[in-house]
Amino acid sequence: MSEGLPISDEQRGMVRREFLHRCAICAGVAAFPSAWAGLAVAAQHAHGTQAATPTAPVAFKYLTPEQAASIEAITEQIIPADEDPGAKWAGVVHYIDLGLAGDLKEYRPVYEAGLKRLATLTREVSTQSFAELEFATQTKILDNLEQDDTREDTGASGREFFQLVRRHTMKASSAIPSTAATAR
Amino acid sequence: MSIEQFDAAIIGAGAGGGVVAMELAAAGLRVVLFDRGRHFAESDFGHDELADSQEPWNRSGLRFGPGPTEVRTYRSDPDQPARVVSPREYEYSSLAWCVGGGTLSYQALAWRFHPGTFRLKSLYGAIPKSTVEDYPLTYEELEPYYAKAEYELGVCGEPYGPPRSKPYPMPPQPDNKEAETLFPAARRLGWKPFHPPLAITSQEYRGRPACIRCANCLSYGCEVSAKSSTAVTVIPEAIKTGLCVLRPQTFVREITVDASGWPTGVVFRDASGHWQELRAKVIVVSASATESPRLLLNSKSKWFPDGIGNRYDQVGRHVHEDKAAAVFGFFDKVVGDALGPGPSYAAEFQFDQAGVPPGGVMYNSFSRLPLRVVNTVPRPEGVTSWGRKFKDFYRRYFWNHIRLYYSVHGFPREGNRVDVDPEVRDAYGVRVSRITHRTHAWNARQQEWFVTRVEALLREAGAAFTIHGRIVSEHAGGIGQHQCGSCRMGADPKNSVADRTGRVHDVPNVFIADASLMTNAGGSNPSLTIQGLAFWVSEHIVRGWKGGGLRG
Repeated sequence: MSEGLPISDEQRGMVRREFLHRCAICAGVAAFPSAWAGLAVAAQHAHGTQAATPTAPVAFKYLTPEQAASIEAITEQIIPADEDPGAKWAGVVHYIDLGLAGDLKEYRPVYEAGLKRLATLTREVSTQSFAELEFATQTKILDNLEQDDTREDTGASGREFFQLVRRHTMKASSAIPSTAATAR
Repeated sequence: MSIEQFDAAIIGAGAGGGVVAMELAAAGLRVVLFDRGRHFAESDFGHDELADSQEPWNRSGLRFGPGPTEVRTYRSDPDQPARVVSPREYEYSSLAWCVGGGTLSYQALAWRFHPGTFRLKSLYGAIPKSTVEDYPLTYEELEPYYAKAEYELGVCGEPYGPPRSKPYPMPPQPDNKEAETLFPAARRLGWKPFHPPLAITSQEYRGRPACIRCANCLSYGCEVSAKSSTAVTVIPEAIKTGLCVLRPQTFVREITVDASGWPTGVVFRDASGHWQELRAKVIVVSASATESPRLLLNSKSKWFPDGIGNRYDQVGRHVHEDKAAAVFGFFDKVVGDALGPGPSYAAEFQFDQAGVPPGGVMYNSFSRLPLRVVNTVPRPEGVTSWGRKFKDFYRRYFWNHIRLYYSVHGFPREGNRVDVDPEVRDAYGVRVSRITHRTHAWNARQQEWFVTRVEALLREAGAAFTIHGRIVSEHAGGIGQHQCGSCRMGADPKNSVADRTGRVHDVPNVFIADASLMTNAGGSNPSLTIQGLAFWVSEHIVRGWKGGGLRG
C-alpha cells in the first residue's frame, strides 16, 4: 500500500517558498520556530494550492462537499487553530481526499461507514450537519465517536474511523516533507 | 547453461556479511555477496517523514524493506498457535532488508560489549528459565577485532569502560544542547558520563565527509555517507578488489549439498525472478537472526533431514535481544535543538551495581522530528490524544523534552525460538520464519532499576516531570532490531550451532557471521560486536582456505 500524493512542480515551488517564508517569520519571533506553526505549513505538500491562493476553492477528487466539510471539521477538532494554525488551515482534508482518490483507496469503506456513524450521532443531538455545529458540540460528539463500537451495516466502527482520521491528520499536519519525496 | 562457481557465497549484505565480503575478497577469494533487498544510493535518501523513513508510519511501508507483502508468523509460547504477521507489526521482528542491512538506517551506536558479557554463565550461574551460556571466546580475544571494526567502518567516540588497545579513530561529535544539559547533571550525581561511540564521521574519514549534523540519522539513509554503514564502507572496498560480485534483490532459498552431504552452493531467485543455482566452496550465512535460521532449516536433504546445523535441534533456539526503553523528561526551558546525529550523552552501569545483574547503558536522543515526536513522546494523564490540550502539550514541550534510553542485557529464554512455520509460505512458496518469543523475567528487574536512575538524572537536570512506559515482566511480543543468538557459538554442539570460529558444528564449509552467532546480547546496541565477530570469523575462514581445508 502506498500513500503517495501527486503534486506539480509549480505547487512544489509554492509550498517550498511558503515554508521558508514561515520559518523565517517564526525564527524572528523566537529562538526556535513554534513546532506547529512551522509544521502545519509543511503539510501543504498534500495539496499545495492553499498557500498561494488561500481563498480559491479547491475541487475535491473523491469526497462530496458534504463529506469534505465533515472531515475538515473533524480534523480541525483534532488539531484546532489557536494562536497557531490548525488542520483546516493546513488543508488536511485535501491530503485525505487525494489519498482516498488514489493510494489510500483501501480506506474508503472505513471513511464511508464512519461518516454514516458520525451522521447518526449528530442526529441524536441536532438537525444540523456536523460541520455546522458549534465547536463545543462537535467536541462532545467526537468524544462519543472515539468510544463508539457500533458498526453501520458491516463497516468500520466509529472508534476505528476516528482513529484513522486522527492518524491521517497527524501525518498531514506534522510530518516534514521534502521536495525530493513529493516528486516520487 | 553452466553453473557459476565462486570461492565463497555470502548470504546477507548487512552488518556482518559486508565485513566478510571485504575480508575474503582482500585475501584473494572470489566472492558473491547476496542480499534480498535493494542497493540504495545517496540520491535515494531524503528527509520526508512520510516517504523516506523506516518507521511504521511511512505511507509506503518500510523504506528499506521488507516489503508490505512479506509475512512471518508469531506466537508468545511454544504451546500457542502462531498467527500471520506483517512487517508493520512489531511481532514481525523486522530488520531492514537492503544492502547494508540494519546499518543503513540505524542510529549507528557502536558500543563494545562489557567483558563480563562474554562470561555471563560463569558470573551468574544457571539463570532461571534461561539457556544462558558463556561465549566460547573472551573479550580479550575479540578486542583486536573490535578495534579493526572501529577503524575499517569509522567510529567516533571517547574511551569508556571496556579496555582497548587503540584510541577511537575519530573524536566524538560536538555537543548538542542535550549534552550541555545532561553532562553537568550526571557529574553532580557522581557519575562518569561520556560521549557515546557512533559509527558516524566526526571529521573527514577515508574519503567520506564529516557528518552534516542533520536530525535524520535514525530510520533514514545518510545522503552524505557520513553514517558508516557497511553499504558505504566495507562493501565498496570488497567490490574494489574486483573479486566481489554484489547481487542485490536476490533471495537465497537453500544451501545445496552433493551426494556425500558436502555443501556445494545455493539456490537463489535473481532480480529478474528466475531461480538459479550457484556453486561455492565456502558458504557464509549472514541474513539476520530471524532469516539465517530460516535458511538453514529450509536446507533439508537426506544428510540434513532437519536442516543444516540442526543435528541437535539447536538452530533458532536461544534467540533474544538486549532490551531498550525510554524515559522522557519534560522541562520548563528549551533543552533541545535540531542538531544531529542525536546521541550525545552516555553512562554505563554494568556488572558492578548491586541488585541489577548485569545492567546496561544509558544514552539520550533520538531524532526530534515532528511526526516522530507526536507518535512516540508520551503524554501525562489528563492530556487527551487530540484537541487543544494535545496540541498545546506538543507545542509546549517539542523543544522542552529529553528522551533518555536505557538498554539492559537480554537473556535467552527457554521456549523462545525462530524456526520455520509448518504451514505458512511466502510468495515464492518458501516456508517463512515463525517467531516464538517473550522477554526474560530479568529484563523487567533491570528496567525498574534503570528507570529510577534515569529519572534521577532528569530531575537533577531540571525536569519538571518524567514519564516512562509500563514495564511488563516476561513481555510477549516480537524481537526488536537487536535480535541475536539464534545460531549461537559455543563449545558444545548440543547447545549451540557454531564453534568459536563461526563454523557450523559438523559442517566444515558453512559459517555464520551475523547477530545469530552472538551467545549473549550485551546491554547495548549490537552492531559493532556483529562486525568484530565478522572480522574474527573472516580471519578463520581465510586461514582455513589457505590451509586447504575449505576447497571442497
